[in-house]
Amino acid sequence: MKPLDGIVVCDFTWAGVGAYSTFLLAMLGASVIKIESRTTAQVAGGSGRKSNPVRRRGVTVSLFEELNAGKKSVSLNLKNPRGKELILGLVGQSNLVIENFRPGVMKRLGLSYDELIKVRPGLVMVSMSTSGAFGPESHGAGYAPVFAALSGASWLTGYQEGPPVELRFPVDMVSGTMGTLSALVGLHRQRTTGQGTCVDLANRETFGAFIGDALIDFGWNGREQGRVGNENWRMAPHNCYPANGDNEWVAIAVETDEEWSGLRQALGEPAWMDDPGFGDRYLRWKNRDLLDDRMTEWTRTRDPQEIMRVLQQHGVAATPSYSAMGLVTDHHLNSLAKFRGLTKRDGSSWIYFGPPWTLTETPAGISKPSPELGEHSREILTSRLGLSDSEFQQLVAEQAIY
Amino acid sequence: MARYPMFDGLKVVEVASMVTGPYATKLLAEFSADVIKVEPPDGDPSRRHGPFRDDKPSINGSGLFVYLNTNKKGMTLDLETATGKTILIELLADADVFVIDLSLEQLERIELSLHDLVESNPGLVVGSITPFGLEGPYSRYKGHDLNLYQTGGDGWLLPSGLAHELFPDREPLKPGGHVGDYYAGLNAAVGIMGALHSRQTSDRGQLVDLNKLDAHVSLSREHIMWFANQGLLETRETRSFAFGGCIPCRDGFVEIVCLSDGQFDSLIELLGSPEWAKQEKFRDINTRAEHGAEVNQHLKEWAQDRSRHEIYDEGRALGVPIGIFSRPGDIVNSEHGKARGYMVNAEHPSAGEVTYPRQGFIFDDKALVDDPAPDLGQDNFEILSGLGYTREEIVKLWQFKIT
Repeated sequence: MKPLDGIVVCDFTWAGVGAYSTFLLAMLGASVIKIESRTTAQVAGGSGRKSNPVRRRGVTVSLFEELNAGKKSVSLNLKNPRGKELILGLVGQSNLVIENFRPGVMKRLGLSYDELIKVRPGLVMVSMSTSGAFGPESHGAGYAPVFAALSGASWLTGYQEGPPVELRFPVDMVSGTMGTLSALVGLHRQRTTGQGTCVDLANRETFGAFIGDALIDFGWNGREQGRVGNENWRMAPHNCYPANGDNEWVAIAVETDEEWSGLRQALGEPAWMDDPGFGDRYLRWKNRDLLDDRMTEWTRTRDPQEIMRVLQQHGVAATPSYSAMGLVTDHHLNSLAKFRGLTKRDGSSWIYFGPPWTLTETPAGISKPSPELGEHSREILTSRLGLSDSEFQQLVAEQAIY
Repeated sequence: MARYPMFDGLKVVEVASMVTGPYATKLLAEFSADVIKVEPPDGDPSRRHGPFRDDKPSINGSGLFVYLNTNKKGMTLDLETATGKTILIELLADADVFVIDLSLEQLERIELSLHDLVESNPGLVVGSITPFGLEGPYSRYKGHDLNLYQTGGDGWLLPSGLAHELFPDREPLKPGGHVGDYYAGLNAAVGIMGALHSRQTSDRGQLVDLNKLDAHVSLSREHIMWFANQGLLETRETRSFAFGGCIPCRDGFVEIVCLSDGQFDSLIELLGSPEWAKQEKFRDINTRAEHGAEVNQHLKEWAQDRSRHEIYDEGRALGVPIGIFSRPGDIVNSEHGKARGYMVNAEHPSAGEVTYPRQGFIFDDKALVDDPAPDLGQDNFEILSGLGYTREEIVKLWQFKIT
């Protein structure tokens, strides 16, 4: 049993944000039917079926492969009246419609919420876009770094003396996750009361809600907060320190006096730690730059794994900064089998990181790789809409199924 | 106005501090769950975080606390005492969701078993939030926002683009504020909703491990995928855009991301169709990427005399994927934000008038007015009375610092 057994999703999403939102729904057990079309499937972007040279500098793989695992693909031509009828037929049997086109596109296609609830009363619909469905900037296009910049979170990220830092792919995941949450909440009420709803999500607002306190500071004190590197309001040491090796770093964060004394023991009680300048939490925070220098002297000759082991034994939060290689070889993640494999149609295997939560009684997960374009057209349209084989062939010939 | 009537009588109890757990339950509260926040008698540490109005600190006036705990009720309880623990268990008897961020050591110290909680209330969803999870070699390791962001794999790649170009050898970064902890909270809310959906068919709750490491690693799927399946190791260099990215202008910075020919054409139109752009090497999407540094040189020269808002407004109208690096003031004063009711104005009994962002969603249901975040121990009397404690007992509990 999975949490969303029996829930059917009509998935019009594309690119990172949308694909991740329905990837999570698929992991939770929903039947996700990806509606695609040969007329539009080759869109550029980080996560389309085709990879992009500007973004990837020659890398030919696409994130599509990962974010669409566990979904089924039906290819329908929206510009064909019969194609549109089939779409409405599928919506009529779905619990959720979810999309992340530019605002106005679904309406132009005749697929606005007002139209869709006529064929499926109680429908939940979730729309995600850079700046939301209305407002003077709603027509603006954007990828993750754009809506991260607009959100304000990028402004607060960076070295104190440097420029703001563009934030990338994870921000797609953040916005997609909020789409998933909105869908789950809407579906929960639909299952309880039958009532539907439609949701307008602005990706810049989803991410901007993560800096609520900085916005309150502006209102209360007129303060425009800036960038502080890795500094924390109440911890020191608190930074990424260089470790032995090329581009090896270790993150160390010390909060309490108890942790400080653990650190002291782990470092072999060096004399510099008895400096009255490090005598309490406040003083350590005040003298954090000097503290960083001292810490660096200790960390730079040591292996990050060894630093983690020794400091954690003494109750200090120390962990390596991981590249993808560090992650896939990590002892903890592997002992819990967090990386999973799928067999693709060509027989090769695909390694991916599993669900980001462990539901102990109804575990999430997927078992199928990402679909070929239209791979499930016949299966879905004959089983769900009752098309006969000859009707199906006819619609393929008419390019309604396309 | 930021709350929606999505739940009818969902009771949530929270034993969690700072950002992650409280954000997960804030999200549930914005869908009208009845959230009771349980704090130690000296309060959630976020009460000391600030910001404070006019920089005057007070236990009920911290901006971070006020923001994260809107729409909740609050009570104090010392869970290290036998009585405090008893009261918590009474509180959970008819609860639907329990969000707890205590570590394994803390749970052992107060002898609280999460499995037992589900046994005694079979409908209860217990969401455990820890740095590294309830199982595995790191389950007893400590980790803060900085650790998780770095160990989760995105930190190693920060910064890319302009900041990396200027400071190629500096330490990796975490995003500003508490971004990673917020994300872990959002991811946790999704996991909790998954368990609530399971309950729709089985009537049974369950323990859900919502650890932060899993949330963070999930954000790193892109470069994990490249390495695990293609043997390509993403670095700060390879992650930087071939051109565009963070571009300095007269009064700040803009972010430009042009991935398609059409978008590049729009960008060139924004620049006034200059001669340099007509060269063959910039016409093809592949050679353009190879000569990205030259494109950026031209972009920077063009942008240096223009304001961020001017570039953004003109670029947006032409279809360029573009945004300003908004400062807090840009966001609070944004016309777009005003049209969408992004900033919520509310009156807090202790903190006064406060303006904070609503969450990214607008449901087509009627929005309800937010309830202010609780003062420390504000609802002790009401909640304890509800559990059957007398006035005298409630006073005693406070005198003994159990509440």
